[in-house]
Amino acid sequence: MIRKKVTVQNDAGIHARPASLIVKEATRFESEFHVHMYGYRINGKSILGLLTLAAEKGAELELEMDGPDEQEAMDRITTLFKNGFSMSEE
Amino acid sequence: MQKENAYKTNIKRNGVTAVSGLVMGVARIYTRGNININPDPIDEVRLPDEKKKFIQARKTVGMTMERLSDFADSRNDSDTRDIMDAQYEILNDPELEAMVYRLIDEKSIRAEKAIYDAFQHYIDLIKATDKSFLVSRLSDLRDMRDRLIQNVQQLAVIASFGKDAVMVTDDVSPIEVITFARNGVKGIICTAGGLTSHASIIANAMGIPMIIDAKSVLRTVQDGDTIILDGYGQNVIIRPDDEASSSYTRVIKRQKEEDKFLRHVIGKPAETLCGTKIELQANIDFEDEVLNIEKYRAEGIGLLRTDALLMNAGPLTMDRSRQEHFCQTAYAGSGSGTVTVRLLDVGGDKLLNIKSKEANPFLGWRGVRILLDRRELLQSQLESICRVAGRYPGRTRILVPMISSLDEFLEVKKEFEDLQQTLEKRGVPVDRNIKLGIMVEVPSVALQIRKFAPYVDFFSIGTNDLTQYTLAVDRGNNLISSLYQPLHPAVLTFISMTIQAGEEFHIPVSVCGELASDPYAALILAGLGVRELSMTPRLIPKVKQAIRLYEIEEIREISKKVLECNTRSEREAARKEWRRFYDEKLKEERSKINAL
Repeated sequence: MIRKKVTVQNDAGIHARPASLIVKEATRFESEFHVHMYGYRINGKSILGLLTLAAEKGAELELEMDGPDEQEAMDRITTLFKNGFSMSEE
Repeated sequence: MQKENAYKTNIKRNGVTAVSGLVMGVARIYTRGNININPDPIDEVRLPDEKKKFIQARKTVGMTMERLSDFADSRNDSDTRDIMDAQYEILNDPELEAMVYRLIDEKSIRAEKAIYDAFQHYIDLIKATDKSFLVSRLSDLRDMRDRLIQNVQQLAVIASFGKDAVMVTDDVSPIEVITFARNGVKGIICTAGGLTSHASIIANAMGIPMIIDAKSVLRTVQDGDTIILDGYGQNVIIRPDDEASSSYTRVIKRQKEEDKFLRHVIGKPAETLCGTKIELQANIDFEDEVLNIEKYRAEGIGLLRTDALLMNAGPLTMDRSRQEHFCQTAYAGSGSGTVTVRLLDVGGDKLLNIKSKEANPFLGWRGVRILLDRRELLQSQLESICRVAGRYPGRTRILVPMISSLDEFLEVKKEFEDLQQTLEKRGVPVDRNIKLGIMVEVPSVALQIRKFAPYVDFFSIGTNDLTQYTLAVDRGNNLISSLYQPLHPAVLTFISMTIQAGEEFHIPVSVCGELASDPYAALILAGLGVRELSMTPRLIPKVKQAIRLYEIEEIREISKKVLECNTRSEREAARKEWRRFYDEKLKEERSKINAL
């Protein structure tokens, strides 16, 4: 299991589109994925869960990845955060 | 409401056969209802069914949703597109599913109530965040909730119809046909006409007889009436009298016996008396059909159409994960057989809005012509296929439709090779043995087939289009439908040329048009040298039976005879003569089998 802290960088925060990008990316991997924020722990493959976090710009989240492809999965998800969820297909 | 002729029996109404067949059943008038949630607890034994209903409704709503994104794209509306994307994820949210299941189990409630409550839970949480960027989107959540509930209730209605149901409705969507099929509906009668092929393609694949354009049926029929759907006679008989029902019952019984008899060939090899093997493969349009591959023992997939994905997705937005999912299902359901994936083969009308209708769509922007103009679509399709192919090495063939020049094929090939390299560099497992082939359906290609042979791994003959282009006959045009003759010597000559080139260059040739599923035509094709025929899986036993009753030499004779027929009446006579002999053969075979 690995963990990593990320910051929401895009102006609009984690609204529907970023959340759907995160889920799309995360479900490509086998690893279980959870997101921690203000003491909550939600399933990162659940878009509704991500939305209920209501993470705005500047919010700090901790990502937790657990499974055979955890490193690659973590890299992909953190890249999404780094790019501010700009459309980055590959 | 008082219906006309409410008391009369034996009322005949004409229609147009979309899927052939003959059934008698109970007429069920199908309409689309309103939302009304029943919160009462139900018996525990029904709970698993409620969960199933949720899953089915989710699938159905997913499909309809994607069609809306189609609209968003045609307007270049990226906001709407984004919402649609998010909705897809919401629909498939694992936590939502878990909650619906939990609610059904813990509270013993119906799926509709559980869905309502689960959505409410999230709506409340999002409201509590008080963040306007989320709260403003709540209407999307409510909308999705309502659509799911509506669908669950529709399913309940259809399921309550029972196994003898013949649906009578104004119009039917492809998704409804799938829902009908899953609930064992016997036949479909629509008052609307001019249904474009998709609902009927699905009905055909599922073996559900269907009559469309039966205009006055809804005015005459009452829910619960006995009804006969006669696809052969292109009509419907409402409240048949004793005489009519017993005569139809006899025909239906004969048909059933025939089907039952054909079951004996299912496990047997598709080969002639002398041992020449003819590979019988499956044409597959959508996921539900994949089960039929195993059921009818198809030897792999000769034609995996990807067009239905586009129907449900938006133009140019074929979601790669959905494409991959579809391919994956097909591979998983076809043992170790070959999977021939055809790239998108649609006309421009499916991609653009109505304004840009073409004067001659069949001679227009379609198939590979679209793919080459919209590279991102081609690339996304190739990528999905190659990624899945990498997981099932040695099984993939990619079929390029509507090729009319070598340049087109070479361009696709280049895209394919570039993509494989990129994937390999990225560390994605790739299959270096993917075969790339073309549809032979344009006369110019058939005429110059030897020029293609050095570059192509296989040929697949599309008899529908090849016939239409060779004979200059639009097969959808009723005025000239009698001119549509797939066994015309000109068409057979093109097929023959393709086979010869195949033999010379050691390239497999298959036929994947409708023609292959007609036993007579299948024999003719085999006689010309075709060794791979692909068809709707449920028609495989019929064709296999025919092949198993002949020596290959006899089959060649049948082909030779038809090639010598210069007129339609000669061809009809030849077919009749064959039929007479074949019926004799069948009779003998039947008594042999029955004696066992």
